[in-house]
Formats: sequence, structure tokens, C-alpha cells
Amino acid sequence: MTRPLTRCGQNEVKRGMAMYLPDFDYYAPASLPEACALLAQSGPRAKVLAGGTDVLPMMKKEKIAPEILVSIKKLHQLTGIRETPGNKVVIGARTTHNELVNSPVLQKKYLSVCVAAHRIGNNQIRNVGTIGGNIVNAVPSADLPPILIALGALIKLTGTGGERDLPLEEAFAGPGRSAISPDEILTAVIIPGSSLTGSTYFKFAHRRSGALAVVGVAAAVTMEGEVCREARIALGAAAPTPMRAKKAEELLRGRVVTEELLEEAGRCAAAESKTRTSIRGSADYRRDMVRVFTKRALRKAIKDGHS
Amino acid sequence: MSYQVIGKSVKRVDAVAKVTGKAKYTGDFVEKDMLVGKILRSPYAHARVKRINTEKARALPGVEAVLTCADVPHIKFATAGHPYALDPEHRDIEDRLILTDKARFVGDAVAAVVARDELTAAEALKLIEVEYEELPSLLSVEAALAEDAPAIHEDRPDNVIASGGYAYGDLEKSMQESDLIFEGEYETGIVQHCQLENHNSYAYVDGENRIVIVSSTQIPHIVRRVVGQALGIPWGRIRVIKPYVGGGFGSKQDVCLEPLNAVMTLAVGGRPVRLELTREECMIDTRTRHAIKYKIKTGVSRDGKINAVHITAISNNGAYASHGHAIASSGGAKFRYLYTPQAMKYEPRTVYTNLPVAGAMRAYGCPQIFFAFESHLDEIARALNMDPIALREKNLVQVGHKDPLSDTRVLSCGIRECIARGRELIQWDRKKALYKNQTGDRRRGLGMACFSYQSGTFPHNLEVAGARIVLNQDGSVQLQIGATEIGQGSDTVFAQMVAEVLGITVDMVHVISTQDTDVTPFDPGAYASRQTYVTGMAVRKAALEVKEKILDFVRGMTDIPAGALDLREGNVVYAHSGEVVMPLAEVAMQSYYDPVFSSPITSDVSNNARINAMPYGATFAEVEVDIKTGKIEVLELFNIHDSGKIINHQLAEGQVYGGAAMGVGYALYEQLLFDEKTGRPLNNNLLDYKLPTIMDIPDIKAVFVETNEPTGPFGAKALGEPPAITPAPAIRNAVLDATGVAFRRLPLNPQHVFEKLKEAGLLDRDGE
Ligand SMILES: Cc1cc2nc3c(=O)[nH]c(=O)nc-3n(C[C@H](O)[C@H](O)[C@H](O)COP(=O)(O)OP(=O)(O)OC[C@H]3O[C@@H](n4cnc5c(N)ncnc54)[C@H](O)[C@@H]3O)c2cc1C
Repeated sequence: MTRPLTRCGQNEVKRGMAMYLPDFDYYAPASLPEACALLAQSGPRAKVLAGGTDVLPMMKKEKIAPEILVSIKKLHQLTGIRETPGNKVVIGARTTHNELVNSPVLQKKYLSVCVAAHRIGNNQIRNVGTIGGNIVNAVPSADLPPILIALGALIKLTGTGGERDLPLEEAFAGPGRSAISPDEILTAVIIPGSSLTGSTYFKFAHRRSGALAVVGVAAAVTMEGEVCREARIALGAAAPTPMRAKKAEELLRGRVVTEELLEEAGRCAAAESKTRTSIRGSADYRRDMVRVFTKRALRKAIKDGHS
Repeated sequence: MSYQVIGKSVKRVDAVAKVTGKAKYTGDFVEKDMLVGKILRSPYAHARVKRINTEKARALPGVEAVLTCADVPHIKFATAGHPYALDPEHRDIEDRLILTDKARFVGDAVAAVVARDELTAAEALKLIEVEYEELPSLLSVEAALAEDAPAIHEDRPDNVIASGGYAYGDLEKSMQESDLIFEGEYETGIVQHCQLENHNSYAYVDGENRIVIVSSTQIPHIVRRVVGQALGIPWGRIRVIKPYVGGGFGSKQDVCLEPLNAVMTLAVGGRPVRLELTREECMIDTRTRHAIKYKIKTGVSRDGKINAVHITAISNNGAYASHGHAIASSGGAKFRYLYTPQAMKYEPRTVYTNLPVAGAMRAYGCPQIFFAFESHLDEIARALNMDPIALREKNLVQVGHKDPLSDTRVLSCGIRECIARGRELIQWDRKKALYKNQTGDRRRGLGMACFSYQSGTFPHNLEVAGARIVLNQDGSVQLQIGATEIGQGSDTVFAQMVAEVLGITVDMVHVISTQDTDVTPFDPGAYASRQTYVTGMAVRKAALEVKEKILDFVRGMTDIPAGALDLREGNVVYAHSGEVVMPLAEVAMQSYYDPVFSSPITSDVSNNARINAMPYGATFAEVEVDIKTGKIEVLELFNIHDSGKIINHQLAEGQVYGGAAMGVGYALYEQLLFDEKTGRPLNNNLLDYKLPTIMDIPDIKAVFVETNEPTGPFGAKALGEPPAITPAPAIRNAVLDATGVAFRRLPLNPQHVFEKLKEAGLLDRDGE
């Protein structure tokens, strides 16, 4: 079996550090099958390590205590952003937020994804945090899932049993719980080709940098003149998992867009949301903000394209 | 008066050291085999410690000592950074033990360990078993003042720490004679300093059996005394060293770590022990800014003249007195120098609660009272249909004003010019007209607010300061002060003062920045915006004495009468013509090595500044309110200050940027939150406590209206704290202007604003 590269944690911690990682074994397998095998073998004792911006703070706060961390840093097929035939965009799971921000492909096709990535954390976090981690960590307030769901993204998973694709919106089981199995590795996010004419993401947070969303609202639309042919609305921090506002979408499909209609869609999305009270805002306030930002996001996606 | 160095933006004397990382802070010093101390904190807001079992912790390998209340001196002491008062009536309240047997807030220190490293110390804390008897916790001032509330401190059964207010004039009569009476209630939140460098110290016992403490503190000389008091040992047995400090804003104007740190080193035979708080600890167990509730009643004549003001205040002090007795009363006293009603009554009450301890924080009670009163004034202006500026102008203090309750006089006052500048810069009249009838989702408004402050604490406290100068062989000088550089730039300002008097360049003044109570002269430290004004007097005096000695020495060398000589550009010159007599370096060499007349030139002075001076200023703000979300954007912010003569514009601007940014945080973002039932802190970290980032701060403009304060060194008055006072009320008044809704509670965060706008009917039932 693969040997751990290092035994890390407290025993390695030098004097004077403020927070402590519990002990763990660190692996950096060189191939995907090896990584999956290691995960399958270790079961719940192991966790994938990407940028570590979620995993390591949680370990320091003693919220999780994996005995094994499996780094994916040597799995080079998990990197890169490519356009493929069929107008797909394939984003490697290890892509960092700043790589999303600076990607010419995304800037050209889906600037909205760059904008969403740019609103994450702060520059330090964006330099190490990854798209895969943002998805698998499965917190309700994560900034990438709403826009990716609105764009109809799929995720590519590889496990010991083989490969599968899953619609992103089905990847979440609950707050902090992803629906992918523990031996699976997310390898890529795929934005399929579509006729969507516009998309956008609004993050409403208490400050411009280093703040989690009070609510996040993404909208994507296909417009034909004044008529909305397709609408997809995805909400963050509005339910235990990122969610679609399907009734609001339904309301819009095939209708001529008016201010009143957008307002109604906002009300509808608010009614569908399952907000809760936390330190960042009350359930009522969040519901109100879902209403306001659904309208604003739709308006922007309709007017400004992928922005 | 024309100056060579005063008023110039010379480079900070510590700029290179700080930029290159050579400046050493408390955490940069390493002693061989330094041990680590850690604190066990109460999980309960109010609980008696019934039993502590430390056996398992002691048995953990690497643990050197475990301390509980029973292992440390049982002497109640006061922590506030004030000079000692010989008058027992005037002393700070002694209510603190090094480790307590009764927890009074979540985070109160009940035990401590010393171990070979942090990890072991943290492990050991987990092994200490504490049995608590929970007591009812008093988490609001109302709860603490309730009839049947238990006493948080046994010797204060009513939980009231202090109620030192004042009154002058015939309040009732002035109210009756007023055409209109206005009443309002205002409330501020609890915020924290969030200085860059967390509290940090280390201590050891030296070869002479003295306790040496290196600490990140604003008040080294006071720390020495308080440690002596807390441990019951002679003060001379303690030596405190302050290296570079990464900010304090008042949280280090208090003795937080050092007594425990001293006890820790004593417990391990004098070996060095470091005690460093994490940010999470810093935010609950150093100090916070008091939340204060005000009720204001004001009698006004129809033309806007304020006749009578009655203010009552209840200040939430948290679990220990710290500065508590002084802050509400100090805010009220400084406030008295802005407007001059015929009659005024100020009734503050400061109350213990089971929350973290409130203490000094930038502008010491003034951000609170000015938020309340300047908000109140704008409501009056609206009711009178008067421009807020016109209302203020009708009531402003005049030069020559004598405080009705003390001998203090206003000898310089630029508040009118500050207001005029602000009005012009923000284009008040044009924009006010423009924003009159707005209806959209985003509405703009303008607001302003004024303040008065003081330069130091006289006559309330002693204002003594020491300075020492040595003339070196090369004509440069060493300057030692007892004042504390904590990032604000005081060392640079002092160097400029010395350079000015001695006719040399600033790089010829070597400032000894490290404070060492064994070595440096006495000065209580960095607080009350006192150092440029108060310590500046001592520095000037020391420089003048050196100058006199130099000229006297030259007279001995040349027979030119000292009165005919002056110092300029590194030379001794004829005063009338500027003709060079000899380089200063030559005098210096002679003073050291002349076989007959050798007498190196030094001065060592103290100055007791039995005087005060009032700085003034105003903030002008323009905001845009998103009615649908409650989000407020500050579009423009001008802070206009009369701090007398500005010694160094660049440093002064730095103070204004930082202070105004803190004010923006206070207005819109920051608040420490606690669980309403348990008193546990909910956001004592920088992710959940929303300190604004640089991206959230508008482009602040710092403007100075320079007056010449006759009592100040080179005409200077205080500047350090004042920039933080008026942004909150100015922003709040701008929101009132934009929306017509009067906010009375800080902070104006989006949810609070949204809810109030909804309540006020700006949004229909479902918030549209
Ligand atoms: C200060 C700070 C601010 C933050 N601000 C934001 C913010 O504004 N918005 C936001 O959305 N998030 C924010 N985050 C959270 C975090 O940075 C992001 O969620 C980030 O994208 C996580 O990526 P990572 O690579 O660091 O994940 P890691 O911490 O390495 O992993 C996160 C989780 O995903 C799993 N995982 C990672 N990659 C894979 C993979 N390829 N296959 C299977 N499982 C995988 C890990 O096992 C773990 O459970 C912030 C975090 C911090 C510390």
C-alpha cells in the first residue's frame, strides 16, 4: 500500500503557533486510481485535501478529525479550463478561484462565473481555494454553486467503481454534506453548451471582501426579444443546500418580461426559499433579500448578457 | 511664526525599521527555554468556582505550573491606565483578582498553566476540572439595575459603579423658558479595538531578583505600579519594557496580562514565560467600548438657540470596573466645550453586567455621546425646518469661553472654519437642494456632525511628562521620552520638536523608542491624545535647556554673549545676521573633550502640564441608501480638524484616515454580539465581527484648519483620537437626510436599516 509521505500535525507544530492541527497522515498519490483506492480503503477516516481553506480551519477548530488527508495536488488531469466540442466548458476540479477569475475562456463565455469567483473570500483565499472544494464542502453560502447550477453545470466524479456525471444541483445532501460518496473524487465541472443568453450572480454580504453571503442569487436566462424562453434561478444561503427556485423559473418561461413579472418572480423565489436565522441575518430578512436580488439578478441577466 | 521642521511631513523616524521588519515587537524577542502560559476561561457568564481539581493537569509531562485563585496573591487591584491618585477618593476601583474564584463573564480567567510549549499548555487546560455553581447572569443594564438583581461584586449591591455627572445653570427655568422641548433616546453598541497586534507579554526574574516584563502596552510606567499593587511587592522590584507596539486604541491602556504573567514566572522559579492572547481571547478578555443608552431632553427657542440640555446615560461596563467610572463622565465633560446652553445637567450611570469588560477606546466616551447628541440636533433641525449647519452655528462656543465648572478656557477654536470648509468641500448647498425630493430605490443624503475634545486629562488627572536629551559628539542628540510610541507617530513628532529648537535636521535626533521603566523618564503613557500636547511641552522644555547650555558653552569658548547667538542648520550662528560662528559638532566635541571645560551637555526635565486645550472638528458625509436592502454606501467623507498647529501633516492625515475608518466601522459594521441567554460571545473573531476592510472604506479626505493654541507646544492641540468621533453621527444624519428616517441605534447594518425603513412605511407591507 501507499505509504504516507509525512506524519503531520501537533507533533510537528513549532512552539508559538496559536491553533493546532490534530495528528494525521498525509498522502499525495500520483494517480487518480491510486487516490480512489486509498480513499476506498480508508473509508470515513480519510478526506480529500485540495486548497485546504475549508478542511484545515475545520480541523483546527476540532469540527472534523480525519486521520488521513489525501492531497490531490499531483493529479494534474484535475487542472485547466478548456472549451470542448459541443460548446462545453470543462473546468478542472483543482482550479483555484483566481484561475477562474483570470480565465480568458470564462471571461469570454461566462463572465458571471469570474465575477462570482471574484467575490469569494479575499485574494489569499482565492489563490488557494478551489472550485472542487467549494462544491464538495457543501456549505449553503458557497458562492460558486448558484451560478454553476444556473448555467446547468454537471460534475464529473471518479471512484473505484468508475466514472459518472451528476447534475451539480444533485450534489448536495445537507449543510456541509455532499452527495458524492467518500471514495469519489470530483475531477471536473462541466458547463454544457446551451442557448442561454445571459447569466449573473449577486452576492449580498456585509462587506466587500472576506464575508460570507447573507444571500447569493444567480440567474440565467434565454431571451428571445422581450420573451423569456428559459430561466434558471439558483439561491445560496437560502436553504440547507444551494437550491433552484423552480416555481419562479416556471413563472417566467414563455412570458414577456415586465417589471411586474420580475417582481412576481422575486416574490415567488422568496416563498420557495427556506431561509434560516444566523449571525449574518434573520430568516425574514434573508427571504426579503432573496426577493430583491432575484429580481435584480434576472434584470441584469436579461439586460447585460453573461455578466 | 515660521518653522524649519515643525509643519513639515518628515519621514517617520521608525519607517525604515518597520518596513524592513527590523522593528522588534514583543513577539519577536526570544528567551532561551521560554515557557508558555495559557488561561482557563469560564464558560459561564456568572458562576462561583466551587472546586478546581488540577491534579491531572499537573501530571501532564511538560506542565511546569498550574495556578488557581488559591495559588496567586489575593489582593484586589485596579487595572485602568491612569496615574496613581494620592487622594484615595480619586483612585481607580479595585475589583480585580489575578485569577478569580467567581466568574463574572464568559471568558473570565479562573486558572492558568505554564508549560514547555503552547500545545502542552492547551492540553493541560483541558485536564483542569472546574466545578461551577451557576448564578443568574445579568446581560443587560436593565437586568443589572433590576430591584432583585444579584450583586456582581459584593461591595456594590446595586451594581452601579459610578454616577459622576454635573449640572450648571437653572435647568428647570431654562426648559420652561424654551419655546420647544425635544426628547430622544439613542443607543450605541459594543465594539472592540481590533488593533493589529494582539496582547502579548513575557516575564522573567533577573539576577537581582526583580521581575522583568516585556509587554505590548501603551502604559509601561503604570503597568509597573499595577503589577506591584496586584502582587503586593515594592514597585521598584518590577521593570517593564515596551518595545515597538502594533497599535492599541486604548485596549492596551489597561493592565490585562502583566500581573498574571508576573505570577507565572514566579511560579516557575523565575524562568521566562510568554503570555500571548489569541485574537479570539483578545476580543473578549481585554477591553471593549461601552454600549451607552442616552435619554436627551433639550429646550430650544424657535430661532434655534439651545437653552437647556438634560442628558441621562446608562453605560454598560461589563464585569469589572477598569476605566468604567471615568468614561461616561469624561465623555460628558469633553462634550461641554462645543455648545453653550444656559443650563445643562448630565447624569450618567455606569453599571456592572456579566459581559466582557469595557474600558478605554479611542475618544473615551465621546463617540457615544456625540452620536447621541449630534443625532438629536439633526432631529431638532428638521423639526425647526432649519439647516443642520445653521442650527449648530447658532450655538457654537466662542474663543474665550470659560467652562462654567472649571477654570478651563477655550483659547483657540476653529470649529466655524471647519464647518465652512466642510460645507464647501462636500458642496452642501448644491447637493442638499438636488436631493430634496427623491423617490427611487437608491437615495442620497448629506450629513454632518461636530465635536469638541481635550488634549490630555487635566484637570481630572495629573499630566506630567518627562524628557531627556544628550548632545552627542557629532552634534546629533539622543532623545528619551517616557511617552509611548504605539504606531501613532509620536516619536517622529518629538524628534521634529527637538530638531526645530536645536536647529538641526530630524535625522540628527535619535529617538529611543523602547520604553524601559528602569531607564526612561516618567510619563504615564499613550492615551487621551495627550502626548504631542503634554509630552511635547516636556520635549520642548528639554530642548530649550540643551540649547541654553550649548549657547552658554559657546559663550565660554568665544565670549560672544549667549543672547546674541542662535542655532541654525547645524551651526551656532549670530542671531541677528545668521553668520556662522562654528558648527554645532565643534561645540559638542569641546563639551566632551576640552581638558579644562569638559562638561557634556544634557537635559533631564519633567513638565507638569496644569492646563488643557480643546481640539475641534467636524465630519461631512454623503451616503447612498439602497432602500430595498438597507445597505448604506458612504460616497464621500470629509474629516475637518482644528488640532492647532499641525506638526507633521502626513502623520496627521494618517491619524485621520485610521480614525475616520474606525468611525465608519462604528457607524455601519461593527458590533460584538452575545447570546442573550448565556452571554457567550457569538463573533469574537475577525471573520464574524465585521471590521470593514479597506474596500469598504470610502476615500476619506483629511482637512486641517490650523489655529495657534497658545498653551500648546508650537501651537499644537490633540489629534489622535478625535477623528473617530463624528463619522457615525455624520453618516447617520446623512441617512436621515436621504430617507427621512431617524436611526437611534448603532450600528446601521443593512438588516437594522431595512427593518426601520419598513417600519417607517418606506416599503410596503412585504418590503416593496
Ligand atoms: C477566510 C475565508 C473566507 C472564505 N470566504 C468564502 C467566500 O466568500 N465564499 C465561499 O464560497 N467560500 C469561502 N470560503 C470557503 C473556502 O475557501 C471555499 O469553499 C473553497 O473553495 C474551498 O476550496 P479548497 O480547495 O480550499 O477546499 P478544501 O478545504 O481542500 O476541501 C473542502 C472540502 O472538499 C473536499 N474536496 C476538495 N476537493 C475535492 C475533490 N476534487 N474531490 C472530492 N472532494 C474534494 C474536501 O475533502 C473537503 O471536504 C472561505 C474560507 C476562508 C478560510
